[in-house]
Amino acid sequence: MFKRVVDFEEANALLRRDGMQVPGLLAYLEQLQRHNVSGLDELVRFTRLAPFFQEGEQLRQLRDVYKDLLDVILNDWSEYIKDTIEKLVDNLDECAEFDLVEELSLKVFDSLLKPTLGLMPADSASFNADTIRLQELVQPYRSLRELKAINQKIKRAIEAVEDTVAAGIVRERTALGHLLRNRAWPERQVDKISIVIILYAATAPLAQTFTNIVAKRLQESRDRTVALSDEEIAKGAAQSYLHRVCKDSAKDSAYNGTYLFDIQAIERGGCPAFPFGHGRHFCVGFGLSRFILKYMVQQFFTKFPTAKILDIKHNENNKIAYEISRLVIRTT
Amino acid sequence: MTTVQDIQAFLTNSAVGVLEVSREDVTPTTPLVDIGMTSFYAVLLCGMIEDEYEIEVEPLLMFECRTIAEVSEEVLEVIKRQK
Repeated sequence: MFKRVVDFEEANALLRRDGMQVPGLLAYLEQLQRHNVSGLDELVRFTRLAPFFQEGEQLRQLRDVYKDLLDVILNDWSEYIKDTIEKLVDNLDECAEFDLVEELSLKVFDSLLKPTLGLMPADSASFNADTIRLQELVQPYRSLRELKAINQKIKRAIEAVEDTVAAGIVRERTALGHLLRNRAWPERQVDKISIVIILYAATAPLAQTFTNIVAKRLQESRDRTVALSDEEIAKGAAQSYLHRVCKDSAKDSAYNGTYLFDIQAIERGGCPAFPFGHGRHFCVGFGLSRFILKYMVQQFFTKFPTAKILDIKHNENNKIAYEISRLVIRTT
Repeated sequence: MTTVQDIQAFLTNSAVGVLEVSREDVTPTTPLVDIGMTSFYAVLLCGMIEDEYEIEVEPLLMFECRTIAEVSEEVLEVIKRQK
């Protein structure tokens, strides 16, 4: 059904084709709606506003909005981000054993991302449960039941944020505050809220990538206090593959034009070649992610230069990302 | 109690409606790809199976099984496991 691509030259040539596009999830959902499938409205809205599922003018407009929001965070919140990372690392007990995923990686969502994005839902844990795994939407062949369940999660998340907007507690300097007050497009408040929730969900790989990078450093005999390089970030990238559909006449009919580019296998110079996407779909949040990752890794290894891994577990059920679900560390 | 024949009849009716093919073209042993089964219709048909029998079915089932007869056998197994 899919053609799995593992060779760099082949992948590079395929990804450069004009007809190589992201999966047409929006058209697919709209087709389901035309067949009287209900309960997909919020999912359709999300798909329309997520750059991952768009091409052409809609993609250009969306990337412009997302880049603007990320610039707001990088320009106005960089000191807050650094202070928060320092506090999070300081709170880890130097003598104890702890699960890095629970005690640091996942705290990025509540401590760093929510305040900067302006997402302050009353029930933070339920909001996370509904949003953090929305990245799994990209997994092909979801059943209708799963799609409707995702639709419900999105609906709850949007309602939770709408409540905070109505209560007037969204600060102007946050990404959501900026979008609500200063950007004309998209016009509707619900679409603006959806964009910020998409941005939140899209940062899930950041926490996974941080854990992967720390695990790799702990497993290798090297100087752990050196600055994090882009090559290390690429090697720790969580995403498993790029999913593309070839729309041009040269598509390989044997695979119905559907390709999975295996990010972990496609190497160039000993490094994953496309860890953050390609071309017009290169990760729009890479700059912010790199800033956070570099500071977190530096702070962690400055405080715990002799840490050791006691236990490591991977999430085998995550088909779209290389995810360590548990990384127990002894710090001395 | 649901039988494999019940499921075959339900799937045949559903496939005729969804794929817009004539009933004569759909038998329990007709290869699904021959009557136009695609990933879209697989999701749609599996949704109908889920609603009818109140079970969870992976759309990939439609590609792992070649015919309605094979899908029906598999659905019956899922019903037994999940109920």
